[in-house]
This record gives sequence, C-alpha cells and structure tokens, in this order.
Amino acid sequence: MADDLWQVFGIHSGHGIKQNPLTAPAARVAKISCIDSADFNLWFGQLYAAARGLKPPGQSNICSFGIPTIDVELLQQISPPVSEHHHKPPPVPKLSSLAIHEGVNQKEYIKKEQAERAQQQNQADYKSWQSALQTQRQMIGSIAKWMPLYLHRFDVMTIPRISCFLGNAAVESAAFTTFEEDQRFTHASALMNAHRAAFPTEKSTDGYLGNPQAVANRAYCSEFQPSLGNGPFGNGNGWKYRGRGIFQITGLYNYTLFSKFTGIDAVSNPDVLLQPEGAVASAFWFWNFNNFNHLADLYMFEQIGFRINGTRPPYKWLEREQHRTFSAARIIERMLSGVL
Amino acid sequence: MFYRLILSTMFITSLIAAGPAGAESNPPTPFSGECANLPLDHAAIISKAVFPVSLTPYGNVCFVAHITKYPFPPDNTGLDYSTATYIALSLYQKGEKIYDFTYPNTPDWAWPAAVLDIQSVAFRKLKGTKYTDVIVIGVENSANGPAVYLPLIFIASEHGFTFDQALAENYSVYGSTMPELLRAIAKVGISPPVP
Repeated sequence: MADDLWQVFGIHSGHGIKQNPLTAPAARVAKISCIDSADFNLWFGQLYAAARGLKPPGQSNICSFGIPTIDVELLQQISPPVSEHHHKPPPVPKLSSLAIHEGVNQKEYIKKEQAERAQQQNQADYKSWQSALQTQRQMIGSIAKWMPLYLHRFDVMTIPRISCFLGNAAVESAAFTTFEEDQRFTHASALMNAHRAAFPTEKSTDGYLGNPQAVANRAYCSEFQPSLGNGPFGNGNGWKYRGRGIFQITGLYNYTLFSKFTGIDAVSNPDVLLQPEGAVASAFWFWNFNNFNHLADLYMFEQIGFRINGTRPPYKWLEREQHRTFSAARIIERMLSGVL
Repeated sequence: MFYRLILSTMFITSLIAAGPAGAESNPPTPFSGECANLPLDHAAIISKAVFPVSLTPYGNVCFVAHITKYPFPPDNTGLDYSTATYIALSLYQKGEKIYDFTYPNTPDWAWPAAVLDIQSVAFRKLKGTKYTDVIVIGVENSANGPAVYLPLIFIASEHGFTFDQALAENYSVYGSTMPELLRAIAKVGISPPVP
C-alpha cells in the first residue's frame, strides 16, 4: 500500500536521487496534458481510493472532481502552527548562578528553581504559540478569499498543481504566519549560511547582526546578486525590494516584471505585496510566468521548489514535500467525501 | 596533440551575467563567417552568445541568442504578456533561420520567458553521442532572489537536434557552471535518444 501511495504522490527526483530517464515520471505523465483537470483529478482520486482500500469513484462522479478549491478550513488543516520555542527544553540553572542560603538543601533548591523556570518557559511558549496561532488564523482568513479566485484564474486546478503550490506557500510564508522575509540574524554562522557571497567570513558580519535593513541592502546589491537589478550597494533598494508576498518575491527586477504584467504597482509601493491580494497575486504571477503548471503536471516538484527558493535542494525541502502530500490527501479526501 | 584536438573541436564560452540581457548591453560587434549577415535587429542580439560553428547535419551555421517577442500562446489568466520578451536560441545559415533550439522545440517550463540571460554556451561532442552537441546554461531569478541556472542539452544526430527533458532535469542538479556540468556529463555519459 505504501508503494501505491508513493506512486499517487509522485516520485520526486530530488537532490542526489538518480533516476533512469526512461522511467522518470516526467516521461510517463507527459501524456496527460490533453485531458482537463476534472479527468485528472478523478484519475488521481481513483488511484488514491484504490491505495487506501476505498471504493474508487466512477466516471459518473466526475462532476465532483472538476473544481477543487482552497478555503480557510483546508489551509488551517495543512498548516499547523509551529513555534520554534515551543519544543525547546527549559534551560537548566547553573549551580554557580544560584543564591545559596544557609540551611537550604542545594539539590532541593535546584529542583524547585528548575520547576519554576520550566513553568515560566511553558507559559512563555504557550503565549508565543497562542500569538503564532492568532497571526496564522488572521493571515489565513485574509488570503482564503483570494485563493479560489486566483486558482481558477491561473488554472491551478489539478491536485498536483494545487498541492505543490500549497507546499511551497506553507514553507515560504512560515506556515502562513508572515508575508515578509525575515533578515534578522542573531548568529554570524546563520547569516553566513543565508548569504555566503555577501558575508563570506565571520568578520564581515560585524555590524549586521540584528540589523535586517543593513543585511538586505548588502546581500541584495548588484555586487553580490547582479541579476536582481537592485543597483549598487548604498541605494537602499536591497531593503526596499526585499522578499514579500507568499513566495517572497525579491529584487527590483522581479518587482518590475510583476508590476508590468499584473498592473499592480509594486515598484513605487512595494508594501502592496504585504496586503492579502498582493501577496496571493505575486505568488500566482510567479507561478504562471515560470510555467510551473506544466512542471507540476510532470511531477517535477523539486524543480519548482528550486526555482522558487533558488537553492538546491530547496530550503526545507522535506517540509515542502510533507505539506504537498498532506494537502493532496486532504483535498482528495474532501472530494471523495463529496464536500466539494 | 590530444589537447589540441580537444580544443579545436570544442568551444566553451563563459558569459558573466550582468543583469538582464538587453539592448543597452549590446554594443555593435562585427560578426564573422555565417554570423556576418544576420537578419536581426542588432539591439536584439545578445552579442556575447553569437558563434559561427559547424554542426551536424547543417554544416556551417551561426548560433545566435536573441531577444524575441513572448512566443507562448495566450492563456486565460488575463495577464498581458504582449510586451514580454523571450531569449531565443537559433541557428542561421546564409541569412536565414534554419532551426530554433528554444520554443517550440523546447517546452515552456524548461526555458520560460523568465530566463533573463545566457550564462554560457558550449559546443562539444558529449560522451556517448556521435556529433557535436549544444549545451546552453540560462540564468533566471528565483522568487527568493538567488539566480537559478537552467541547463539545456541538445543532442545532435543526422536528423537534427533533440531536447531531452529528463536529461536536462537530471543534469540540472550537478552544478551551475559549464565546467561542472560538462564534468558531470563526462562521468555519467548520455544515451542518445532513439530517432
């Protein structure tokens, strides 16, 4: 059954995984381009049902498979809020840092102190988790009404296309909690990893830690990333055209193309990509301009992640895949149950 | 002697990506051989990617990267791509276009309009093939910013060139520069497509 499911969700030709070109999914799935999304979704549903041991839908059920959509419920299902601090163990107090009072058993004191700190940490984690959850609910609520509109407009209508879009969107927007790139680094190594060309040594990060504006201005200037079209260091374009929107569209060149073809002026008003419609529109425009629909039809999900993120394998590649397969399963289950 | 032979049959050029290719980056350059009489607007030619070369089955031709109109059929998105540009890779002979490596002979996802420049071009007989093949690496911006390098590998035969999508996808993980790509191909080799 696991093998069957794996076939349903596609064999990713990921980094380091060698495939025989003759048996690669690209060659097999390329033939389906002539059928429409309802046929494809029905076929996908039949495969999924067979793999799950359910009664496969017949051709007469095709009307249920034509128009999949994304709503608040689905977005919330596929993106559980994750707080980085939530899973951290509480810090252990050091003996030397404790005030030792006369007549108090040191072991008991440490134990009590640990318990108190753990409780404080839990409370802080809970608050952080609550805050993330609230932010996520607000953002999902704000984009959910635009998603179906743009899905239909850009023909992102088959299960592989939708699920791949959602998988990448979930990672790029940190589980739908932000539409703005985070350039606030606290450790030199993290900054060096993120922008190797601009910050090759630890010394080069001096003055940049905790200063996102300076980081963006340096990392995205023409000296280090000429193709972004931001111009020389010091003109402020790196920060002005930093990553925004669901896919974190970055750089004057990308902003200019987006404005030119969508009519939404993001060059003079870049913050328009932080608004719900701008955030959604920018992601779907990038998807369309790069013909990702066809890549998704060929199950070339790693290539899509690579072209969105720019690194290989894409940043948080496994999370992208988890979100993709999970959303594919949720969508098809809703279709099978007749919800859509 | 061996190296001289290799050098004589191989042209590799590494082109530095310096922003989107366009008219302002193309100072008029006199071209030689088959490239002397290109029926193209000079402003549309990416002069750093123009090479007179001999390729089977065409003979002496001019390989030229040039900027054309958005070639893909319109879709129902409502976006107006009529002003968008596309980098086409073509072969010209005696002033006439005889072959397009790019659309419609390469699918839109492998070489989309988002490609903004050519990083390098190589003409080389690859391991496992019979004739001089054409390898091109294009540059486009990822959404997040870092440049993405897209390799196209065209295998030559007596009938013309073939683009293999699985081959391009499989080799695209091996590196972003022409030497890296060629080293990877030299190790693994290529099975020429069945005509």
